[in-house]
Amino acid sequence: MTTRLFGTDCPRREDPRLLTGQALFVDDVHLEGMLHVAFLRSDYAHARLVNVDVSGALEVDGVVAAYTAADLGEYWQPGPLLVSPPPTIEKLTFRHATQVPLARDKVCHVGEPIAAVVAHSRYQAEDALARIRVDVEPLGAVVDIEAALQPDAPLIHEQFDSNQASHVIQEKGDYDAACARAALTVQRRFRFDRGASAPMENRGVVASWDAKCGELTVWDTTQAPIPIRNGLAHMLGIPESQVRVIAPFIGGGFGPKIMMFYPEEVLLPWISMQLGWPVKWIEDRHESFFATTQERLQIHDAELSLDAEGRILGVKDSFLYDAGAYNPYGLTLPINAQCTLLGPYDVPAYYSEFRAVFTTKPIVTPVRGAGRNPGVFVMERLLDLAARELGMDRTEIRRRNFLPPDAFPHDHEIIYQDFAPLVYDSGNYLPSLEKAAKMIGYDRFLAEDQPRLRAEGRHVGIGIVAYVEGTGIGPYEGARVSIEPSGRVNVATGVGTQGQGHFTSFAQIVAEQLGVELPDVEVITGDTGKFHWGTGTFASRGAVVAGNACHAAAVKVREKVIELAARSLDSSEQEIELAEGSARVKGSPDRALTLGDLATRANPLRGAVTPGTEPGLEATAYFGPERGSTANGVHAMILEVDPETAMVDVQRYVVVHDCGVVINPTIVRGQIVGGVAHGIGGCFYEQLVFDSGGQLLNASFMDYLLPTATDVPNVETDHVETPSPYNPLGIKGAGEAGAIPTGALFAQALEDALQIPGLEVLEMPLSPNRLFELMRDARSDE
Amino acid sequence: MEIESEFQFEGAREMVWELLHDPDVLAKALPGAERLELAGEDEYVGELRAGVGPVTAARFEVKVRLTDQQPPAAFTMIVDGRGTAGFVEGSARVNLDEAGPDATLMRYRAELQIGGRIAGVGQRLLDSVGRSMARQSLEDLNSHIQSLRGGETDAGALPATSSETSSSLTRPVIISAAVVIVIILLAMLL
Amino acid sequence: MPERLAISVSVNGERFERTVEPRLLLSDFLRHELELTGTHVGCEHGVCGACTVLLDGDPVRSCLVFAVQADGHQVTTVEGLAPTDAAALERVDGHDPPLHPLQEAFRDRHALQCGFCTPGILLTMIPFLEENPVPSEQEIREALSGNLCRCTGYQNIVEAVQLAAERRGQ
Repeated sequence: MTTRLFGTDCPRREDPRLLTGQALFVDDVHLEGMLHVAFLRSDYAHARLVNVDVSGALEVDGVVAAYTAADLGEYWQPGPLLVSPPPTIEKLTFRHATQVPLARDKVCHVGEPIAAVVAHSRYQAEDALARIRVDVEPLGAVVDIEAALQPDAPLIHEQFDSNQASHVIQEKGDYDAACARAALTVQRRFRFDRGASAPMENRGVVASWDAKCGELTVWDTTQAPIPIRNGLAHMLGIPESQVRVIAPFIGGGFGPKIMMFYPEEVLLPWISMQLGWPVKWIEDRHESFFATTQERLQIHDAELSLDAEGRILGVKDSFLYDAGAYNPYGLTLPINAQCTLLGPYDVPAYYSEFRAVFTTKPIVTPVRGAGRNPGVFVMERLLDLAARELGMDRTEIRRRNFLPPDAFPHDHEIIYQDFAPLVYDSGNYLPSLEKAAKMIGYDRFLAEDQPRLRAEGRHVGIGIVAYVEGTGIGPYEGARVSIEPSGRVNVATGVGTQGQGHFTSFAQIVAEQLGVELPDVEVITGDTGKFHWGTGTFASRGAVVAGNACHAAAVKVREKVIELAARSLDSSEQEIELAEGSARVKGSPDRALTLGDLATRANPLRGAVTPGTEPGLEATAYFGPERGSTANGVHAMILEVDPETAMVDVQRYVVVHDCGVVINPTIVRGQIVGGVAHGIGGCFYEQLVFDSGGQLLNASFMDYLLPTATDVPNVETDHVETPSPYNPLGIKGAGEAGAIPTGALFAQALEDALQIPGLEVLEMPLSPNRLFELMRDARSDE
Repeated sequence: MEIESEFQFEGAREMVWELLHDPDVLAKALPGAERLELAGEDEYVGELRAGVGPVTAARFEVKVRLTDQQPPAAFTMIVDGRGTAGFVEGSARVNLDEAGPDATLMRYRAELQIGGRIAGVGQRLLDSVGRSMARQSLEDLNSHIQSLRGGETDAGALPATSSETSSSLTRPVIISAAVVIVIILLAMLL
Repeated sequence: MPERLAISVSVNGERFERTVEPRLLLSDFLRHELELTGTHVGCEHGVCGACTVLLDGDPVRSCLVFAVQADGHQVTTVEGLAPTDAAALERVDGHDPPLHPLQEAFRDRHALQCGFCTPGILLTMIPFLEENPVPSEQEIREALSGNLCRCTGYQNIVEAVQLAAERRGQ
């Protein structure tokens, strides 16, 4: 009898340490003699650096060193282009400019680091920052992405002839022909603005160079420690094996803690090598508003052509994408927007064109949703507008356009962010829609509740939207599973973890294969000293790619256990079962060996290991999906608007989600609910506001408002399970899904609640102020 | 960022001018102004300490350059204020108009770019706190005018005009420019 | 060099005497001087609540309190919540440390993901439950609204507090 662990709600393995304050975060690393680093950052969005004088800083008590770009010598290099553009897209131009360790000739956004001060305490280092003299010659800021492309716009990267970073066209079918025979074409302009990822833990780096051993150890709040290790080794000229990067417990990531080669990440190891002491830098919250990457300004001019029955004939979209000051992540985000726009729908003709634009604002890289959110917003809004024009119900227009269950795998004939064709592996969309509509009581609300509430003078509305999310992309992840003589099972994998419960879900996968209890499985993630092959945690890929690697390694160890047990117990491999920490002969419970005993036997002190075999009960395996798996879902909400104050109260929120086979339902639900909260923030509260000078006007939690416990509703969830055929466990990713469709949903529900003719919500986020303006404008047009 | 405001002094324009060119008066009327001095022809340098919300007691070095002068009625100032908490740059046009036999209307219109920490974390408070502080400074100057008009010679009162400063036409303009700039800065920074 | 002051602070029942700069924050004192790193710093301006500790039993933001202000006072941090008596240790299965009932409820309801905000939330909700042994959901949400969590969407935290209250009532 084996206990089922896979697919169950086990409590998390990591929780006791986190709950008692014993979990190690980067800022908790304390080393003997450790020095502290603070950065002087640009107050200007765009300026030429005339002179930087750190001599005053060196006079401050406790200061050990101060560095400018000039001190870095050959170590001063722009960071790597992390994601090159897909070579598989034909109509594509691209040029890149990446961030530098310390600004040398000019600064391109507020907060760009100019100098670093090292002192015995952070307090002293910050005292010294005030003594650095910086002379600049201000250049014009570039904030508006349309103005940025005008010939008279200040040029941010002077090696180029304009601020355009890229121009991409992807198309399938003949949109113009589709449009010509359409019964209805709706065309609108949509705007989706910037927000912050705002994990509760800011970024941080501790670097310690041991000159005697020639070893560098770095603790880094990164989602991708292995690429950071490899990159640092290359930059510093140290063998990769002599660099260990540890991403310990990370206080949330949501994208921007991805592998970046942030300036601080590159400088701290170098400073430690210069000084021979460990050094620490912890980003403060104010810094994080400039020094950590952001998302997601896009402006879309989009149109949808349909026949008289509301069937989609084609979509045309042209959008501008704000890349920020540098574009190390290439085209991941706009391609995600471009691809995800198609959603769960059958779109026979598609013309999509975008321009990526450099601006003098902080760098843009993926934040939970990673470009998908605006794509979903555009498509869902167009469908809502079309449904209204056709006098059709909002669920009906979606129902008519869903790809049917027999359409999979479905090739959209364009290229996705992983360079592979956008092919949906599997899906069954209608049940999600019907479940969600039923859970929220869609028909009853429209027929009974809403008329009654309106009669009472209340403005309550319902929304329901659908989306897909490409998840679990390659290239690969790996894992090593080993059994100790104590019977304890160790699992090591390369991805970092930022709260997703990998310590538990990966343990569940392995425990299931080896017939052990969860407390017997110790999972280590994000330490290159323990495992050094892989990429990282992003793109909702941890469970899919690393999960399948853990599974593959556990299967190999299981085979070794069974082979050795059969030999040791004079039985056949078919007769051996693994349960309760032992290998035993089925039907003969007394003929058994514990896994610990077997591990000891597999690593003998005398006698030879048979040639061609390996000692120990250990295996390493890798998993690389040919392409990603496509998760999908339907979100529905009921909200009430106060027409006087424009305050919104989200009263109900329903999510029906299909992320294939689920390892731990509680963890997946937690990911969904947390994503919804992030999404609600992105609809209503969170907007990074830049003035025309490129200054961020709300760079603190006093002015940039994250949703609190009184703002986020309870989220009711349910699942549909359509396994992915692209990985052995049938998993699809779930980390970002909650945040992706929230803007589209919020907009639809708002319009439904207000029902003011002419009021269309075509932008996100929407503060109460902005909503008030929209309401006022629509009413004055009446 | 644009600021446009006005203030009416209850005194003749000449009296306002005379008052405005006395550095001691200014230093007392303007909280945070630690230094105000001429740095060259049409150039003025000052230092002030200001704080808003979480930005406490930030020190700013202020340079003012005067252009387009039409003494004694109007002038334009180019402002460059920098400190550890950020910067203020821009220009302001100031007009002093007679608004009656015993009234002078000061109007100023500034276009300023604020940057750095002060922009990021102080924005919310700049407007309300700044306006009230600026108004308080102007009220203090105005009440001093009233005390001068009443012919009071209270030893504790702010000193009256000295002949030295009134001998020059340029200097009062510069100093009044500085006053206005500092007031605008206070409006922005406090 | 700023003048340094001698202070004596009782933290989790243990007395610590140190000489500190007047500007040293209580959060930095706990984390760096005493190496009690369970208290986390999320915003340094009193909004996020991650650094909440108990000062003489009341929740305070340790990033807004100077260490010298805690001189002569009692501080409780997340490290001081779990029971340390023999009975509690006996209940522990395997290698997990003993937990406070609210910590147990958090584990049982998956009320934490990255866990960075969790210590501050525990130290906000423990005195709240003392004052409101039978809170409504709305009361919990309001009491929680001064603590930011980016991972959970708060729902499971609310449920965990409810569970702890229920268990306490039994």
